[in-house]
Amino acid sequence: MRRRSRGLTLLELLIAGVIVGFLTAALVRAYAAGATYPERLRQGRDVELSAGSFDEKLSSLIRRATLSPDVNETASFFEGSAGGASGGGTNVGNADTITFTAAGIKPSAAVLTSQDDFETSNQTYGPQGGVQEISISTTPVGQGSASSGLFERKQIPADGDPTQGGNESVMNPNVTSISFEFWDGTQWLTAWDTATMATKRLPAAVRVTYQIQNDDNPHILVVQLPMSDVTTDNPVTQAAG
Amino acid sequence: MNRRGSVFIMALALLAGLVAILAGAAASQRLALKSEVNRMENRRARLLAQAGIQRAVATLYDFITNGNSASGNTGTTSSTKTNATLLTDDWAIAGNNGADKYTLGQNSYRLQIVDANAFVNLNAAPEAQLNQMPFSQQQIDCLLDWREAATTTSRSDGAKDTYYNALTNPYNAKLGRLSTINDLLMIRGFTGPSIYDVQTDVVSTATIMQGTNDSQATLYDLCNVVGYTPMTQQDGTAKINVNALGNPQQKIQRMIQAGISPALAAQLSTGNYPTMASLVQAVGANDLKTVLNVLTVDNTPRKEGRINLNTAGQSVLSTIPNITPDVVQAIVQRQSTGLTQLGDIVDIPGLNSGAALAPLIDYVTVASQTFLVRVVGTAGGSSVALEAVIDMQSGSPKILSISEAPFSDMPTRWGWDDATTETPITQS
Repeated sequence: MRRRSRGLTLLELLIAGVIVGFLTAALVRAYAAGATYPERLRQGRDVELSAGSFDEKLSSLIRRATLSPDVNETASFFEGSAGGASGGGTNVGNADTITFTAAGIKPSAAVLTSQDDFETSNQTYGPQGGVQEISISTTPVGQGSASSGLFERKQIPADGDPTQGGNESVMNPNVTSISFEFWDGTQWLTAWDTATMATKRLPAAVRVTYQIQNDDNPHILVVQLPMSDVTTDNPVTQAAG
Repeated sequence: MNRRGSVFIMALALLAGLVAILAGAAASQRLALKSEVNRMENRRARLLAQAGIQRAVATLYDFITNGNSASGNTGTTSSTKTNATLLTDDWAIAGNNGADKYTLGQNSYRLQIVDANAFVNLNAAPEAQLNQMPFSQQQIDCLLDWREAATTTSRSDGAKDTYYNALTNPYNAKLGRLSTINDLLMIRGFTGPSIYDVQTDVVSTATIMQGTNDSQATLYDLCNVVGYTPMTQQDGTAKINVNALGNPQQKIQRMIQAGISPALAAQLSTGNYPTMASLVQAVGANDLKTVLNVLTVDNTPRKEGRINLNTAGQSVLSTIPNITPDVVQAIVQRQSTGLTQLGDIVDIPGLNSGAALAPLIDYVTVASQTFLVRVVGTAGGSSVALEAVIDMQSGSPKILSISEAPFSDMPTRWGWDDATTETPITQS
């Protein structure tokens, strides 16, 4: 039997139109989201990566802390203090700066294979090898410019003056505050200064607590120092006074 | 025009668009995954290398406290344990010269422990010894100027602050000890290749020094910067200072108790012996052994820069001024059994008189408290090579430094054997 075809009612057309409209809108949205998806994925990864690599960089820097076996060496120290570098053992709680010496940093392959003579090498690559002085602080020692964040200062060779020298750079511009604590074998201390210790020793571990802009949660990082001989069985005996 | 056909084509186009987006996302995701895997592998390799260092520390600690497990230095008390450091010891065979591979799943580490006194110590070697090594005159002068405390006058080819301050990137001379071998890069006359490649323009007239891999020795093969030797007798007590002030009768008594004949003790108690060389020349051949075992010439509990006769290679032994190739050969031959006390040195052919011993006795030891650990951690395609210096003073291990080895072919540079045995790391 052949049915006579008849037109659609207005209602049917309206319903069909609305459905098609919804579908088109959904499709357009899906396309738009899909087109930017890889880019957003990459950005998300970058944020995660930079947070992770900041932690990694911070701990790998702190892990390098080394003291010379020569007890009389002045260019060999570990200091954690408040309000920038102390330079004289005036430490009072809540350290926001650590300054220490580090040995054993690998010179770049370019330096090790360069056929330049000593002077040209110094000109091209700067001083190489040697003990490095590393300082991590939210207070820059350089010009009190408007820049803020966490600063890293490196000096080769370390010169026995923990308060200044070397190159300063921004390590992470988003750090609003940082504090360091030091494990002496029995408790966490808020300051550390090898200059005032009878026997110079490194803390067994450093606990770093930092705050990132627009993030209310504090980030906590505990870094064990491999070159420290401080243990629970062999703690630092606190000098009286 | 067929309407149904056009819908099909539209559907196909839609699908193609979606697939393209997905493929793009997948490609970028794969790349990200790969870089993440690389990072993970590198971290794993580093952690494994650090585990290797911990294993070495444990091995050394076990050796220092308990002695050797099989033979050689046996016993757990200080009275039966010798203080010598031999190539047959447990620590020396740990890792089997890099041939043992300690595996954890697909990943692994390899390690080697070397006596730090098997090298020439650049912080302690006197000029006469540096002259026997592959240095140029400028390098010797500058090295001495760098580490010696006198601040102003430099040697004729040397350099002090005036020179270093005039560099493009100026700094001050250290006037103190080198912290790692790479500190040489701070010193005038040294460059990367002069440390890690064979130096050609050198003053030394000594015989060609054999390095690892049958090539000539590089400074990296020959030198290090730290290494302590204990000044102790066989039973672990301190050696007696023959120059000590105080009651001479007590000193004579102590020497007699330690096995020195009364006549010799009386003779030695009155003299002044600035060096071991002067001491060995003052005693007869029969007394040499005991004198070397129990006496020293100052109060220093441990000394730096002594070469361990039991562990040093031919090229390092050859740097001792005035040593003859025959004596070097005889010392190396004796290393398979080893010298358990310094006095055993008189058993080596050619070294049985004070006159023969005098040139070298102040340069040598048979015991060591400092060890160099070389370790390579491998995970997937990443590997990390570390060198750690571990000091065992008073029996408790302390890591003095950890440095990242600078080249990717470190096992070859260290003269390691190929990895042949696999030992899984298990929980115990």
